[in-house]
Amino acid sequence: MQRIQIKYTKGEEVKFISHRDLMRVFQRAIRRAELPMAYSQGFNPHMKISWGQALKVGATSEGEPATLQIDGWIKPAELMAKLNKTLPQGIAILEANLV
Amino acid sequence: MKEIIEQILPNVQKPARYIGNELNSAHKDWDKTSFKVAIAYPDTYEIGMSNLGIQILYDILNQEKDILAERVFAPWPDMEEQLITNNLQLFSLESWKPLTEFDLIGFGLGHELTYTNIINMLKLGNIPIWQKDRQDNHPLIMGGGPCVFNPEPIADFFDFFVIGEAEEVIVEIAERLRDSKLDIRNSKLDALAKIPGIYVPSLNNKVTKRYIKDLTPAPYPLTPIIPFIEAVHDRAVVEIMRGCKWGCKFCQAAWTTRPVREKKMDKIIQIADELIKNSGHEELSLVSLSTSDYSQIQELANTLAKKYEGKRINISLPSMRTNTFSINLAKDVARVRPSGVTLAPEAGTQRLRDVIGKNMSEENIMDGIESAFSAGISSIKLYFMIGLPTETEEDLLGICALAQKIIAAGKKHTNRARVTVNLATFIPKPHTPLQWARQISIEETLEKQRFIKQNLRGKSLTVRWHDASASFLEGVFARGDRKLALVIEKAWQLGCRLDAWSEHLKFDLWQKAFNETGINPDNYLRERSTDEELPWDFIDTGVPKERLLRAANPD
Ligand code: SF4
Repeated sequence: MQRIQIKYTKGEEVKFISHRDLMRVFQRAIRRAELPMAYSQGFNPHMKISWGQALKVGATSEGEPATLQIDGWIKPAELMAKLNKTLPQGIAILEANLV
Repeated sequence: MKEIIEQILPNVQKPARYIGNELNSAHKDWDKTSFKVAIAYPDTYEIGMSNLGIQILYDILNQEKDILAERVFAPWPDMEEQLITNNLQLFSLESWKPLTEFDLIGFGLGHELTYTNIINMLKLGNIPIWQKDRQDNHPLIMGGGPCVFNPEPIADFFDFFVIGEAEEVIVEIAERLRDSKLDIRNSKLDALAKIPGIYVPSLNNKVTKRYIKDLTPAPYPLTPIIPFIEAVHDRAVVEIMRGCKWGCKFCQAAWTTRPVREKKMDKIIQIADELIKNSGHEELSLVSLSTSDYSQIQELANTLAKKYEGKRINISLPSMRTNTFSINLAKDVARVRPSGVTLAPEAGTQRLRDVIGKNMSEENIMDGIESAFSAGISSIKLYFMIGLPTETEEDLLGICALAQKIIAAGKKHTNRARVTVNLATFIPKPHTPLQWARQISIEETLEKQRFIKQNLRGKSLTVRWHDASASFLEGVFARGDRKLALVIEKAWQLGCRLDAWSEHLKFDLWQKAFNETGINPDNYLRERSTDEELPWDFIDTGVPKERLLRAANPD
């Protein structure tokens, strides 16, 4: 079990996406990247990710935080590279660190 | 233009409906691409993006080197207001270009109640709505989809229609238009009218539908656009078969999509693999009109289930006949157990089911229900139509009796058993054996709905029904003729928009539109005599009228 904190951008292309939709975009990108995520228990398990405060719709950002819980082990740099390949334009991971 | 759009987006609900940039959306070089198509769907982004046809055509066109396709949907009223107050034209999602800068605008037409949105989109795009008023510099306006099996009510708004499966002919159309050096509108239409399956209302008077002969090699989008906002169907979709072997006499989908064609299993698996990889969706849906009739459905579903076992992917099989076989199969392959099943007996008695050609006996129904309850499913949704030809009170009571019988069977399994009865008004559709039938009036609809509600009381029973006025309008336009274009324009002028949304449907304005144009809508619901010429007779779906007649009156 590992926790990796990432810092990501929310650029011009996606600045009008709501926070809730952004969360879904990440979940899909993570699935495409086939990252070994930790899931919650229960009838409808979901990925364990903790998010920073929601940005205002229309605002861009150069560094939003989120923390991903990993079930197993992956190098933060590898996670960053894989995710950057599957995220849509306008969202990029700038940093990934173990916490 | 870009700056103003940026300013108005924060003022509308769900700005993501208008901005594009989704994963897998196509971004071609606007200035370097010679032929530009806008794929339009006259309803909201969410509805349009759930339409498989739109994704297929978008993909086919963007695969072509010198063609670019972008999307445009009907704006929500708040966006419409912003466009008008800021003097902006309706723009495409990808490049934010006004509609007037495209060569061709193709509307997908899936529902009669979207017709005012076509007018609205053309108006907001600064394009004359009447075909005859458009000049050489205006884009050509094309229509396609299920509604165009009777295009007459909207024929005067369109330059041409594709009858049948547009993916078979779309590239041919684009090439013909691109290669024609002609700038003159009429010469373009002349060229188009020569392509089989193309109907140019100002020119031809006979047309035969186009369809894909072999579904296996047919183009299929492997990198579907993944919306930022939730679309109606948020899942990876593989079409496994087209057409349906059951000839239910009311079913336009089945009668117009003949012959039945299956996609080969290994191709389906290959497509599924790509879709999962490229989408990140958690659900894979195998779709067709009647999925249980796919010849290798069991093997297919099991192979996929095994393949994706470790991946948290749920495999869903919509449109299955409810019987022991399909319940067990669905249970085997689904990761999450479905909590309900849907059954469409359509009529309450065996007699009436025979009349409409619904091949489903009470024994079939009860067997299916039994296996559903035994599998731990507690909620059953039943679909019926009211106003079917020859229907009597007995048939309506039959609906109630069947629902009671099912709930009683369910209670033996679980106290949580629930039955929902959905009542739709029967709408006779063109090119079906019931195309001559009468549609009941709004008053009769309400009366029958009331009758069923009164006779169907019980704690675990819910009755839902389609809005009577929406079905009325759908029926008028489904079997309408050219005169109705004036009514659509008038309704639009009076403020009708997004009529398929119950919160937006303003039936009083529609009544006013009929009054002011002097058109009596009831006339369109009447029974047609079999020797009467019907507005859609000029379209050949491959099923001759005599065949429909024979199916309508067996022996
Ligand atoms: S089974 Fe369903 S899809 Fe097939 S003809 Fe009957 S109603 Fe239409």
